Amino acid sequence: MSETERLCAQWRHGHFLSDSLLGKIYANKGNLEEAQHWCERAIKRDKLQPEPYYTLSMIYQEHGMLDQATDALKKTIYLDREFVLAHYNLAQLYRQQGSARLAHKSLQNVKRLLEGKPRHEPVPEGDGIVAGRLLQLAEMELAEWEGVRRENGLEATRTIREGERESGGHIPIIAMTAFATKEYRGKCLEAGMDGYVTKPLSRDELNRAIEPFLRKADLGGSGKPPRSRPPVDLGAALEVVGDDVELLQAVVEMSLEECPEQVEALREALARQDAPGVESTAHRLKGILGNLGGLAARDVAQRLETMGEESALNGGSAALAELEAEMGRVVAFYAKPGWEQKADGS
Amino acid sequence: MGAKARILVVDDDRPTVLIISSVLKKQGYEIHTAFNGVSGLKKAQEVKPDLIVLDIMMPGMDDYQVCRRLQRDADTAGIAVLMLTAKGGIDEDVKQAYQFATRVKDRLTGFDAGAMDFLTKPVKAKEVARRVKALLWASGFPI
Repeated sequence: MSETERLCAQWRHGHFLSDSLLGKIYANKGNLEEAQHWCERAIKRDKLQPEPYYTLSMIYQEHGMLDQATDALKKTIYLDREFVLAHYNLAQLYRQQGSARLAHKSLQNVKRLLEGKPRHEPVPEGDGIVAGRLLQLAEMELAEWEGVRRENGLEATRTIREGERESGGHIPIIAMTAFATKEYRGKCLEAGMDGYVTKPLSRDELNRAIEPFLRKADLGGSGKPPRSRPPVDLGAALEVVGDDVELLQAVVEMSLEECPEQVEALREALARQDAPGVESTAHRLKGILGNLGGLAARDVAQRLETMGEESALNGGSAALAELEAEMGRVVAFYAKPGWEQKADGS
Repeated sequence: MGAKARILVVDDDRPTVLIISSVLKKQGYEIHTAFNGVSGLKKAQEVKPDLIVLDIMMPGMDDYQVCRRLQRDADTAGIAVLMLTAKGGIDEDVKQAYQFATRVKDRLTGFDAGAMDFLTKPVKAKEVARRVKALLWASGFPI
């Protein structure tokens, strides 16, 4: 019997802490029966403490009782939302039970709790695991999981588009992802997706993203949206830069970097019903798109600017969705390798 | 005649600044840039440019304010200004109003605001080069 065990045994009468600790010590030693007994005792003394539930969940896991283990972890987290190891273990359990979505959510909780914390600090109940290590594990698992999903979505899109090349038609595909980077957006559009929404998803955002396609489908009757204007008037873009293709490349790069921020600002201004904000952000986008020869997108931005100027924001979200769709086409145009050759040839 | 004209480009729209400065650099001018009205004014006092390319709609300080301050300061009062406006939008009205106002004001007060011209966005490389050259000439810079 170790010193701690002896002390705990001495104090255990009336002491929640000692019960809980004894449960933990027995669990660590592999004496699960005894461990469970002390944990349950601790809970009986004070059912609002998270630690014994956590130890119990470890015991249930050892017995392969996954539902009970999950339940105990949920209770742990209910009692202490910042019990980071409980979040991490819950993620493992969810994964074993095939609930990838819930596992993902738990891992994100781990990330949220540990980010910004000193990396060398031990995690509570972690038996020496430090925050940095746990964060690393969580991030690795998140990346792996997202990686699987990313490939799937992109692959599926490519397959569908390939099929369409033979059969004709065009099913609108909108990417849904937690990755909001420009790089990834480009990847989606390159694979042949038509739009892009980021998670956490809002109903409004989703509606905005699908609205233009639904309208087009209604008007056209078939799944083929009418494409009246080309996304980019390369001649106009070359006139801007004086036929300097290299300069145009630099301008494109810089512009695409600025666009997401402006679109976000525009979306926020619309949500706030902030007419001057809509006017100025739409104006800004208009300028950027004009330099790129994105005339169709520029016209939509112009419309939004006028809406802001006249404080008539009705239909603003539909226009924003249209703008995003048109901008998506501009991005796709410049993302596709080979446009420089077209520029040289013209 | 070896002196290079110094040109200051002020616009919050970075791609446009890149375009204009690249085009003008190719023409052999010395280029300085600023991305908002306040730093534009500071740069103007610092480098004393021969010409300023100025965007008409910047957040924070509009072109009127920038222009007025440029004119108020003895160091920068005579600098030629090429204003950038956007086609079709509200800037078009601003541009006309401003042109009218400066014309009337200059005639009434005899105040020399320096040469001024307007250029519509999206800018075109050839047009930028041409207008800058003409404006420099109009403001007495040896070409």
